[in-house]
Amino acid sequence: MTVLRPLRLVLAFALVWVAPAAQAEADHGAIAEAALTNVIRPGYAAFAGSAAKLDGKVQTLCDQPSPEALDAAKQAFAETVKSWSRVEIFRFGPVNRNRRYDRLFYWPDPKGIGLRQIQKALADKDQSVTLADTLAKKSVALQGLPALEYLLYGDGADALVHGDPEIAFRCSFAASVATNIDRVAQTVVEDWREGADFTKTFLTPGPEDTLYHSPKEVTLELFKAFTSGIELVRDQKLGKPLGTSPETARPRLAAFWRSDLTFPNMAGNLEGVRTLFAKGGFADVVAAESPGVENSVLFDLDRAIDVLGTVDQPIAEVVKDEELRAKLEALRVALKSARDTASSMIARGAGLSFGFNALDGD
Amino acid sequence: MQLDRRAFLASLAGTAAALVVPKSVAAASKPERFASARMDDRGVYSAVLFNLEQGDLRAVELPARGHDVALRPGGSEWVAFARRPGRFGVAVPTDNRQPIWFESKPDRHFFGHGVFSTDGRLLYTTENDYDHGRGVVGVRDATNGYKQIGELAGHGVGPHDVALLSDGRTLVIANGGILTHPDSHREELNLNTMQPSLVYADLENGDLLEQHKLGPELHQLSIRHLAVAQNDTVVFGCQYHGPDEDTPPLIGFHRRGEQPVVMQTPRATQDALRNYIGSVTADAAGSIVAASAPRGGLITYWDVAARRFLGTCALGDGCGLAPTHHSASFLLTSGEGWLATGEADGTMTRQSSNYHWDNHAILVG
Repeated sequence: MTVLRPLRLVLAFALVWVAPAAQAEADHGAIAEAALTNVIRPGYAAFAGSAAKLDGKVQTLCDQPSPEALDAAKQAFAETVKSWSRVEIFRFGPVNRNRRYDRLFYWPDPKGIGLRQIQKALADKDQSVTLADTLAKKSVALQGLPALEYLLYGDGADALVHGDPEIAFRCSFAASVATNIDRVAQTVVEDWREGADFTKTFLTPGPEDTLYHSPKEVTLELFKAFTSGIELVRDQKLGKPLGTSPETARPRLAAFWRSDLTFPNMAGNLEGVRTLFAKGGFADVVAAESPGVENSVLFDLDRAIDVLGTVDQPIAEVVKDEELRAKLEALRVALKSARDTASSMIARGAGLSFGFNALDGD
Repeated sequence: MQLDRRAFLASLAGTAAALVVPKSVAAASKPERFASARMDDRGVYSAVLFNLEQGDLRAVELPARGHDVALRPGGSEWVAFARRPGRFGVAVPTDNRQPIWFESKPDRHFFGHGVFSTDGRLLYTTENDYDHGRGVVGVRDATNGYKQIGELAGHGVGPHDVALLSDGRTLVIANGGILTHPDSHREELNLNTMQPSLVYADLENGDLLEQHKLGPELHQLSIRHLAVAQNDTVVFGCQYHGPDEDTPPLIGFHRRGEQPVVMQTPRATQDALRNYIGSVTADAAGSIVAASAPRGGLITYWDVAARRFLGTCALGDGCGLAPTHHSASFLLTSGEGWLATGEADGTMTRQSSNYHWDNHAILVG
């Protein structure tokens, strides 16, 4: 375990007196280290831990089918989705290699391509999907959490409590998906370990590195995870299923609607954003720009996480409930203001070029 | 049958799977190649041909910031233009040949946009004749090192985006109406009297065929970007230079012989667009148009035939747009480094890159 170095952040207001024109910049190396040690590694470790348990539970379900075993597998699935949700906002690094992200979470899928492929594999009894080794070479849509969700919760899944041969194929498919998720998760953890190639580039990028040329580019990558994580929830996860009215709502665009994990998934995404902000160094950057504002950003995020955590109806009902819709719309507004406030201060405090196109005037 | 790109990607988990795909299918479904200008975090500008699977296929460093890119019909070259008030252009072959650099005349600068004749022989670029305060269209011979062979009238001030109608002989020009001079860099010199216009001109002699101005209350609505969609419907995107508290419509539709129609979005969206459209592009079928609002961090989608607003998707500093091979599907690029595939229903998948992608992108094939 690495001993944490304290964050060394240059305080903007302390410099203003001597050099008003100078751009005070955050310590980019400290931000990368804090994000990796406090957020990224613990996040993927938790995900890999729950994925390993899930793998075991689905295997048990296949070996000794029973209502209890199916419940245990679903419970483990929910835990895995929750831990995944916290790292889902990271679209860079080891998870970005070899299509691992899509292999874990092929979403959104508005045209239902994944569902069609899963149903076809089930109908054809395609044996190659029942072994993790061969599954890994198949379509990414067959390999991850949405595929496993369908196998455990979709049409026909109730029969998993019996051991007849017809359902055994479905269970073997589910078990190989669980094993695949487990393996990909462990690989991501492994590739983020101390001394791994990617870790080196991330912590000490140099001009000769291909991915990041300077520590500031790593800060930008983390900044993008922060802003896009909020955008993901307010626009893609909430906005698209809600539509503009109950009539135009499309609840099936929601992530994890079959398992009723839509709201825990969104809450988990924002917990990831919150952790990155609070423990990854950005809160300090904001505090240095304008003391106190970091708390209002945290307040907005916490409130959104709370609200999402209290929704206990399926998304299909939520989109028809005018009162809830209004509450969620208000939450979307608060998220936007948190994003805008934090992002402009982080961009300024960390010296990131911002508004390349927005401020362009062409 | 045309395979959906994501369906095809979904069927590919690695090279092992790729090997068993029949050649014909593989060829038809090769990942789209796009071109765009961009900047890296060291401030180095480049123009690049890329796809979403492999990243860069060919990058050319630019001496300064670029703007739009134009594809030469036939697909042998794509051309990147300097952002105004720049003077360079570069044609980059899709094979290994060397790039061909060219410049504007000494008393002209580029506005950043251009279009080829249908046969790929001539390149038309919007330019500023700044000493006379008028816009012009430069004509260059692509078969002879992009040597300038002529100049047409732009019929307005500040011609920006330009495109060709399906007849192959009508240029449509977005005259932004804003007077600028390189000596005062990018300063806008006539905001009180500006009069933007949408102009149709004859490609061969530059004759004015049709000119449209928006009503007097919209004279500060700069018509800046456009796309030619199905049935030669021109969809244009605007930037408002009047008071911030106004939120005028920013997207317009026009067909020759008709009056232009500008369209509002729902109130909340209209406010969020921040009075600024950065780029407009039609999809592969020409029936859906995407228009980006980088200040608002939104991409808007429009049904061309119905002239109807469809919805939005959020993308921070999102500006560049290109069609993909599939209808209602677009490449979206962002100054924050995102490369995304967006569908007209507002769903989006994104990936991170380490570049600030510039205003515009094109589909090369």
